[in-house]
Amino acid sequence: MAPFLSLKTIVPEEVIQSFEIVWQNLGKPGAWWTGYQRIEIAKEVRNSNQPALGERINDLSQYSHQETESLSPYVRAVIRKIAYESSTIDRNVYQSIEEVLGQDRYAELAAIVTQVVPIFTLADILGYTREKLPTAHGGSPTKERPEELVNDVAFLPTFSPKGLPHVAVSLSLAQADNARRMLLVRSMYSGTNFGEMVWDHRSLSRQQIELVAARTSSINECFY
Amino acid sequence: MFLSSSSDAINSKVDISNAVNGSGALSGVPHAESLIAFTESANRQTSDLPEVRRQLGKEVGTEGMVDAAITVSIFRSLNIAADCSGIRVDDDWVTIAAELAKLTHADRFATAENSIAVKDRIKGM
Repeated sequence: MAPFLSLKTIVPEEVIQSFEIVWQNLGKPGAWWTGYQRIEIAKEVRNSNQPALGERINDLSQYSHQETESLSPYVRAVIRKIAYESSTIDRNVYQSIEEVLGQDRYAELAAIVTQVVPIFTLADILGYTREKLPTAHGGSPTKERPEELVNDVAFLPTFSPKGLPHVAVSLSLAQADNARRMLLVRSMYSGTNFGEMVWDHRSLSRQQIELVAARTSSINECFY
Repeated sequence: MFLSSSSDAINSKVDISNAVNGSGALSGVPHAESLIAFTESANRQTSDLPEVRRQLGKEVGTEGMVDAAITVSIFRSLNIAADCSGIRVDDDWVTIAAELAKLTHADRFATAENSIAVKDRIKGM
């Protein structure tokens, strides 16, 4: 059965198309994670929710590195920390994660999370069931790392922004997944008229959209 | 930042502080109160989300409500991308970011530490 059938009745076609591109590639081997691991990463997000205060992940070192179903409890905790507590990832936390996972695997894991979060979040807000995940594909990760990275934009190496907002290149170490993340951003926010301060291609005005955006960022304590 | 710019573009005076931290009633943005109630509920997944969603739909139409839901969803993702990668505020935006941070108290966020230039600008204000 084609994915996103229920959302198609209410969500613009361009958004659905960007979701489908994510779904088509989610289970394929990435640069550093296998297809099976990538689906497990997405599943960890799909099967979890915002934690209560007492359930937050304050100490990653307490989680085991013993792999179960392709991912260890430690990796699953990192996934949930990124998905629900990203504002608590300071340089020290990032470096502790990098020591275990490495930059490349962290970037790809984070890029997967940032692709599935908006898809599941939209379903939650509209009162639909979260979409079933695609099938994992066999095959090995490509072990490809982009070249010409810079180190002065983020904790992670990134492409040089070259006029793009820093957030556009934030996870560019995971080049292909970052590109698919930005397809979501384009269909769900920036469109082709980002430089225009007055939009008429959306149902809400740009001013109203930016109100929702600013409030969301404040709730999530995202300074950027 | 784009809330300010998009408001300027239509000659609308916006109260940024009320928009970001208050009820929105004084923000100057049409349907702000319902949009903010929806944004809060959608982000926090409160139990009254179905009712809040219906209320917003009555005011801005179903397509407008879906537009708001789409915006919340993608900004959750953008927030994650920004924070988990530790990006700093773009150089061209340092001054406006410092001004807005003071206005909205965003400088209290832990993630402000990632933008040293903005923090230094705030100290100098």
